Formats: sequence, structure tokens, C-alpha cells
Amino acid sequence: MSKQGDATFYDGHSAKPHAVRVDVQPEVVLIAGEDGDTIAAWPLSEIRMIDAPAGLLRVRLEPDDGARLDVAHAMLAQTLMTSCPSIRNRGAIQRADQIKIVGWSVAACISLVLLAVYGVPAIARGIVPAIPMAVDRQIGANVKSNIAAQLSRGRVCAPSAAADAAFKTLLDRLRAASGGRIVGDVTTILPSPVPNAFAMPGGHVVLLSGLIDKAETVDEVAAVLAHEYGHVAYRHSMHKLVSEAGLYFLLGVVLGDFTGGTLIIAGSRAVLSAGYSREAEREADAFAVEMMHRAGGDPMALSTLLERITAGRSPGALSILSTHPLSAERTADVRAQLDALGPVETPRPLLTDAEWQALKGYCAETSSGS
Amino acid sequence: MSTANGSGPSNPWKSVPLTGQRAEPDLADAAARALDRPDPEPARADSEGRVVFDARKSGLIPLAIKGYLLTLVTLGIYRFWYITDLRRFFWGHTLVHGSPLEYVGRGLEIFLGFLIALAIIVPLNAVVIGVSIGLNPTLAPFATAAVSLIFGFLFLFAYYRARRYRLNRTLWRGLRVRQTGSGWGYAVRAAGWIVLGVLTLGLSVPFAEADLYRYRIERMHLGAAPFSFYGSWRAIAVPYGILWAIFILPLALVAVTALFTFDFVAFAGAWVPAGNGDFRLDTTQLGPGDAGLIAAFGLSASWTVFGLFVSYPFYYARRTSRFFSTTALQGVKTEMRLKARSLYRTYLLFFLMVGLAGALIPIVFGGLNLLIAFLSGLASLSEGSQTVATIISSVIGFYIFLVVVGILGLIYLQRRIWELVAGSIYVLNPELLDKLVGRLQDSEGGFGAGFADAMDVGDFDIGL
Repeated sequence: MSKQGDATFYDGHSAKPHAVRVDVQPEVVLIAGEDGDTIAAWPLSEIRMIDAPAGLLRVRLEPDDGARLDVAHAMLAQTLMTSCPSIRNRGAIQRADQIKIVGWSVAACISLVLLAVYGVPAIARGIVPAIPMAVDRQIGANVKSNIAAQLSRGRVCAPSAAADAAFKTLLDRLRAASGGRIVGDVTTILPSPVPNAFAMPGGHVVLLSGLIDKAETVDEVAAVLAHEYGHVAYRHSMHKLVSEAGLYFLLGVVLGDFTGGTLIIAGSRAVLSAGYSREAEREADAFAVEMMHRAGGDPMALSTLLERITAGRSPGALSILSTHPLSAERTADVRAQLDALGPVETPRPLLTDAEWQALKGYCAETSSGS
Repeated sequence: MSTANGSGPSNPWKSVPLTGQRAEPDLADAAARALDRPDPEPARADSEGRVVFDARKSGLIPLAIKGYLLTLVTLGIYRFWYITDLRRFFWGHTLVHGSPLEYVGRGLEIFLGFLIALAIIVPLNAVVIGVSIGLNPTLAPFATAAVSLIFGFLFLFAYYRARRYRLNRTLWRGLRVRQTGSGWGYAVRAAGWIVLGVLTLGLSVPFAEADLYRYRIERMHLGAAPFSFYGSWRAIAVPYGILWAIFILPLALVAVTALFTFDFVAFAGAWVPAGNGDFRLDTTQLGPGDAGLIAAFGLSASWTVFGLFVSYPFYYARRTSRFFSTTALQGVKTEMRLKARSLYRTYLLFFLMVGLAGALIPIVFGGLNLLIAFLSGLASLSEGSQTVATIISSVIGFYIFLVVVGILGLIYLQRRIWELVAGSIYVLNPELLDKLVGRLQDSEGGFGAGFADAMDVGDFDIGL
């Protein structure tokens, strides 16, 4: 192997190329100018290569003083590559660092996921009681106007006096049975063929007329309302909002929106919020059963209604079934709770037949919302 | 010569000696090598001072595959080191007057900058969320618009800081490039030009381009030598004027007509609330002329967007060439002849390849889904776990598509455009480059680049 050869040297102070003679010694590289004087002596262990096109070996000294040596002489380049122990350490990331980055990133992801699964719901439980109800009501009003615009095209029901009275009677009965856990009167019936009901922050509950059309008894309507009041009583929608905002922050902003991250974030959010809503549905069911039991209605009416809508097929994306899937587990939970509560003591109808017929026609007439 | 054994020199592909029977094996061998290999010699700047990019794909492809895989595994954290590797490759394969550029940035610097940027962007996002869920619906659009303006301003800031970081990490023959000037100063200037651009219906753009280019260039040094710009807006007035007359004038005419005839009061009153923060336009409350103007506005705005998209490579080639040809480095003069045609060819080829990948990958994974359905039928899996398997295979298919498009983009778009841009630059008096002096100095942290990454300004051109 050639230990000597011609090369080009840049001294780091000017861009002027110096033709030099390079001599690779056991410990150092001697760089001599055209006049034979040694310009520099570089220790082999401190020589590093720099990215350059094929056919050119470009090296520098560590620490960098700006000087560069360009070796186009293939044999000499080969000698330098084999004699300088750290020459391949070219400022690119080292394998050990690479493993460190990958390892700690994976660890960070795991702790983020754990925080998302256990931390965020716990934080939400702590934060929600501290939020004033006025905030709930403001957010609820915004969400409600949005839902009204989407589902009923901005139209509202224009009930007859009898229908309005029947609705108020039903709400009074439910409120009396809630044991003071429902306050205010913020339940609205909106005209829409979709059979569904929603509970929003601030205690706003929206009942779509499509659900009243599907109901055969007033108890079925009452059971749906009682279920939604359960969500209201537990402030479920606020919990959900705070958790979602927390997850968005944790996974969306901190991890960022780049290669692959988005899909993982979307997936984990879907899974996490699905788990949360199952828990919330169970709580709302239990609340509804207790309330219906105390009001003297049929606590199983919710299941009856859900079964009928299921049997009717083609539920549609916005139907109550998409957010309240009927499961054997859920029905079993309700039955177990009923067994524990014992039979309804003084069963009496929630509304008279005449009142129920009036309520069914609540949205027979509609007007464009103000 | 070698015609004797039947393979003429006109057919170099068959002239590789297999038996060693040639009369002059050395010569034939050399000729064969020269013709046979697409890139037999190391790339060199030619004597006229042309800048050369050694565009070989080998080296870049393994770098890209490794970078992409590690970025996926680390949910994106590795991208700072990946982009640093890419820059080192691109810089190191670009030769000016025979010497390669050098990139000395570190992944860790950009990563730290990214962390600092998060501290700014996270609270801003908190404001966006808080505003969008908590505020009165009539006020929400204004608050969101205000936050968007702040983000737009930060984007301009990030652009300049990222550029400053890149250039301050660039060396040539051991001399350091320096870019000074403040990110805020640039952002204020650029934002002012944007406002003026809207007010003048786009006519101020050539002035803005020249002014901002001058701001960037006149704060740039190589070693101790300053860059200077002796061109002006006149250089791009004609190409821009043509594009403006074709693509922007219709929109400008509609806007001016609207300014004088449009009943803005009726227009403001015709917005009916359609829900949380959203409003929709009730056109029945407007006069017929005004409704026509709105339609004309939509049409001409689409024409403008389409036109600017299609003509951008043409404009980019003209502007970059003319500005760069009037940029000097202490007496070193350059000329740039970037051809719009080759840019168009590059984009077309890339879009074709993405289309092909987009067509092929679903076919492969559609087949895989069918196979899953078939196998789970055999294994009598429940419908639920079958759906999960299908979703997972679709997600994997989508990932592969993303990675393939990313790598195609790197190889056939970024590499090719870098090659076209660098290769169109000629240094007219390269011997003067040898006389440049300077000193090494290190001052710029990675905040700018990390911030730019957090703002999604992660481009990597060298900033000419």
C-alpha cells in the first residue's frame, strides 16, 4: 500500500488550494508543501472523514480547525482509511446514540400511552368538579345550536298547548323522581326523523322527535330521558371533553403530526374514548333504572325501545344504536340492578293516554328557529 | 481491432472481454468500461466553474430507508437525525469549483430547538382549543382568525431562522457560511409585504420578492466575503406580469368591481347562523348582481389557484435564475440557467410514479385482505377479529404507501431538483474563489430549525 501521495490541502483560513505531499507515518500524517516544508502533522487517531462524492476522500482534524485535506489518490485514500482508527466517525450519529434515541423514544411512547389510558381520565375526574357550571352551560349552548343546525336544519317544534303541557308534566314527574339531581329545565325536543337523544354539557338534553315516533309507550321516552339525565348528573360530557382535550394535547401536540404518528394517535384516541363511553353508559343506565323505579315507570322500557329499533334494521349512522349499542351484558346489568331494587311499589302511569297522544304530536307542526 | 471477434465498438454492451482473446485487451477493456458504466468517473466541476451535484442514487437509498424505518419506530423523534444525515449527503455531493460543500449541523441541535418551540406552540394550541369550545359562537371565528394570524407570522419567523441555522452550518473549503439578520425583522418585513400584496391585488409581488431576496443575501457571507445582490424587481417584472395578467387579473377585476358595487351590508346580513361558529350564506337575501359577483369570485379564485399551481415551476425557474445571476460574492460572478422545462418533466415523472404506487399498493393489500378473509373463514374467526385483521392490514398498506411516496419524493423529486438547480449554476470567474479568506466561528443554536420543524417548515434547500 502506498504510504505517500499527492493531495490538496486547505488551511481553514483561505479557500486557496495547496498542492501537498502526504506521508502516512505510524502515528501521524505529515503534510508537506511543494517546497518540502511540513505544513501540518495530524495524529492518525484524530482524523475524521467528511461526506464527499465518490472518488474523493476528504478529511479533517478533530477538534475542527477548518483545515481540510482532499485525497483523490485512490491508494493513499485506502491507506488513510485503514490507518486512522476513528476516520469513519464523520459527525453522523453513532450507533450507540442511535440505540439510545430509539430506546428512549419507545420508552417515552409507552409512558405517554400509560398516561393517556390512566392519567388523563384521572386528571379529568380531578378537574371537572373544579369547572364552574356556567362554563358547562356556555359550551352546552354552543353544542346544542350545532346539533340543532345539523339534525333539524334549524327548525324547531311548534307544539300545541296540550302537547306542551304533556311534555312539562312528564319532565315534572322525572324531576321529582331524581331526588334533586336534576336542576333547571333545559330539555328540548327537536324535529328530526333520526331516533336519538343527546346529553350536552350544562345539563342540556335534546330529544329528537324520531325517537318519540318509534316509542310505543311513554315509559320508553321517559327511560331515554332518564338515561340522558344520568349523563347530566355525572357530567359525563364534560369529563369526555376534558379527556379528549387532554389526549389531543398529549398525543397530538406533543408527538406532532408526522410520518405515522397521526394514525397511531387517531387509533388510540378511538380505543380510549370507546372504553370511556362504555363506563359512562353503565353509570347512566344505573341512574335511569333507579329514577324510573322511583317514578313508578317501567325500568326495562329503554331495552324494549332499543330492541325495537334494532329489529327495525337500517339504524343509520346517527341513530341511538351507534352511540348506545344494545348488548346482552347491558341488559343483564339492568336486570341485576332491578332484582336488587325490588318491585316498583306504586306503579302509576307517567302520563294519561290523552297526554301521551298529545306528546306524540309534539312536532307535528314546525317553524324556522328564531 | 475487436471487430475481428464479432463485437464491434458500436455495440459496447457486448464488448466486455469474456475469453481474453483480444489483440489489445487493455484498450478494449478501457473503452468498454468507459461506455458500459453510466458514471465511471468521480464527479468534478468542469473548468468553466459549473456547480456539480453528484446525483448517484447509491448511498442515498439506504440512508432514506434506514431513516424512514427509525423515524417510524420512534414515532417521529428520529427525524431530526435523519434530516441531518440527508443534508450531510446533499451538501457533501455538491461541488463548487471542484470542492464539496459541507454540512456540520447536528440532529441534537434541531431536537432541542423543537423542544423549545413546543413550549411556545403548545400554549397557543391551548388557546385555540379553549376559544373554539368555550367562546360565544359569534366571537369564535374572530378569535380563531387572530390565532391563525399569529401562526402565520411565526411561520415567517421560523422560515428565516431555519435558513439561518442551515447556512451557518454550511462550510466550503473549511470556510464557514454566515447568515445574519433577525428572524423577527424578516417576519415583520415579509408580513408587511403580504399585506401590501393583498392591497395592491398582487402587483407588489416583484418588489416584495426582490426586497426579501436582498434582505437574505445582503446578510450572508462566505468566510469574510459578503454576498451582494445588484439586481432588482425589473428582472422578474415581465414573467410575473404575464402570469399576473393571465391568472390574477380576472380575480382582481372581480374584487375591484365588488368594492364599488357590492352591497356589503346586505351581504353581512345574509349570513344566518348554522350552528356552533358556522354561518351559511342565504343568497335569496342578495340582489341578482351580487349573487353573480359571488359566483364570479369563486370561479376566478379557482382559476387563480389553478394557474399559480401550474405556472409555479416556470416562475420559480425564471426568478431563481435571474436573481441568482445578479448575486455576487466579493467579485465572484455567477450565472444561472435553470430550465422550467426540466422542472416540469421532473414533477410529471414524480406524479406518475406516485399515481402508480397509489394504484399498485391497494391492489396488493386488497389481495391481502381477501386472503385474510379467506383464512379467517377457515379458522372460523369471529367477525370482530376479522375486521381488526383487515384494519391492521389496511393500516400497514397505508404506511407502506407513505414510505414509498416519501422515498420516491426524495429520490426523484428532491434529488433531481437539487441536481437541476445546482447544475444550472456557473461561476464565471472561479479563480477568484481561491482568494477568499475567512475564519471559523460557531454561534447559531438549533432553535430556528427545530422551531421550523414544529411549525412544519422542514424544507431543506441550501437557501440560494
